Amino acid sequence: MALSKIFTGSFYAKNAAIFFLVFYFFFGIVPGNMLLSYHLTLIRGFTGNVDFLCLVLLGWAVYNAKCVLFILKTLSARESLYLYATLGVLEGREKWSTWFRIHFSLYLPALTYSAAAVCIAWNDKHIGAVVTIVLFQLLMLILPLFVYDRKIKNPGTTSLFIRWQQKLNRLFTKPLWAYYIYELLNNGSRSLFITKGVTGLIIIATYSLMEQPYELRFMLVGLLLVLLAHTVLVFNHRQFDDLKLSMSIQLPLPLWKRYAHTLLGYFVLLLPEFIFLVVRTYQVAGPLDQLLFISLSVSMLVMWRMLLYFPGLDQDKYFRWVLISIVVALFMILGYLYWYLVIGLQVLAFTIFSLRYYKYEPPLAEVQ
Amino acid sequence: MPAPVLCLKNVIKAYEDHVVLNIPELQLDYGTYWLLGENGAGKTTSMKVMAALIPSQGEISVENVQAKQQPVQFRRLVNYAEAEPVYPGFLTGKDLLGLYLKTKGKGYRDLDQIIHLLGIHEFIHRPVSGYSSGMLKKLSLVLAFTGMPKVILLDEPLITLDVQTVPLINKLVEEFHTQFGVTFIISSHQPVSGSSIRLQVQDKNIVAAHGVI
Repeated sequence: MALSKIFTGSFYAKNAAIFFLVFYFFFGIVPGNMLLSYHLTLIRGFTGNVDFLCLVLLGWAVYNAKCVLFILKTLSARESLYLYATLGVLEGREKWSTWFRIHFSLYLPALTYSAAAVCIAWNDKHIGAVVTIVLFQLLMLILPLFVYDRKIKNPGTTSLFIRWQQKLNRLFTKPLWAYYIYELLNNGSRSLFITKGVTGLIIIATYSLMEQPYELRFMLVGLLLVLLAHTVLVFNHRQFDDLKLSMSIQLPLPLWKRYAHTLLGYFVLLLPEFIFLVVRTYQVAGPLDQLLFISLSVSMLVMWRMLLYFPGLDQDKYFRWVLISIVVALFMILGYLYWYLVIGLQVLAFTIFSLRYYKYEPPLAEVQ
Repeated sequence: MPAPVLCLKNVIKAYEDHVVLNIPELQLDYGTYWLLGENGAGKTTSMKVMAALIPSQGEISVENVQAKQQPVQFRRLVNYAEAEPVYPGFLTGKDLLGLYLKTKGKGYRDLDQIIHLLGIHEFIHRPVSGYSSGMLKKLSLVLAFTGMPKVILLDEPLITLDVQTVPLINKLVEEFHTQFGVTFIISSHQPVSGSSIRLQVQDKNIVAAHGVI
């Protein structure tokens, strides 16, 4: 009972937002009378196609890794020291069944869905898929138990991941332009991955909805939606700079270099979308179109970031300006003025930056 | 008579309509200054204004380099260490040191020696999120000694430091002042240098306090 509170309860509570989102995608987006056929189609899709099945297995493996990391993190926490004196003394069958119960309770959502998939695949005579899923899930259930056992037998040791990270720290120095990316990966991974998931869906939807032949303006409108999904990440960038990177203003860096750092940072932030766009559109969109996707996206995000150097720009006012800029961009795209839009955004962004950077002061409410 | 190192003229710092600092004129010659003032008097704001880290009205210059007209050159001449330094937790001491060395330059003295002297080498490869406040303070002080500044501002440099480190910091200040001609402005509740000149933040202005220590 106590263990289920420590591990299971806190795991589901901590990841409630993600579970809610997944639940919504699985059960909320289709009408109730189509729910069964929707899931049957989905399951038949991956049990009858090797590539799709590999993708699903990868998803389950990622979820399993999340469960394992959560348990290891809980065991490494200072307040969990007592667990070594309790769980650590268990032996034999009792030890393994305890670890199994804990891990099983965390991994249960994936097991439930895979059980349904096995039944349907068995019924459809997809024996290969049945065997693959069963063996895969057995591995997912058994392998982590050895990881936990090793951890509990070696209290206080640094994990392989931490040791690997420390080695990397010795080899590489993090560049200034990448600080916000690191921040997102360390402290904003949830919002980052949700944003990337949403933008992936937008790109797929845009390409699927586009009537043939390929229409650049249609793709650019989809791209505006992709950028719109990044507005919160851009807004949080200011907060990161204000609260954790206030020392950067005392570095003797010319304005153009600071501006270039922002450009590069946003280029890397948007890199997954650019790669995905190339994969989806390389047959129809030429290099100039790809360059336009990149230039427009980076310019727009940088311009939004620069807007935040104006005093008194709270979240409401920021979103208002974002929407205004989207509308202006939309009309310019419809009028075939793509490159004028890119140049306009760049000129505007750099002008705001050069006029406002040294005059900017974080909002009092933010720094207090 | 030598030219003043740091000049402030008609400097006003206000938050909305509330003036927190009003310095008609301040000229500081080469020396070590001890900035005094009650809690909330505006010592930290004064230091940040002097280092041009927060916007203000008026003119600030170091050796005739104007903060507003030549911000990059000005930042090469002025270093500042915060009372309670904050850095992104994922950065290591090495990352921060690398950043400062790359932008400010190597400096008057071999920094490796200072790093070893203060014992920073033991944790320099670890992310700062795992540092104690004392470790963080040591790191921020080392960063203030990078480059070739003419003025170093240290805001409460001795708080959270262990007793073994305090004399080492005093020695560093003395050495950088006498050997490399650096002017120090230090806000502290403890005297840092035996020959420091007292300044007082009083009635939103910075004035000379009576007596030399």
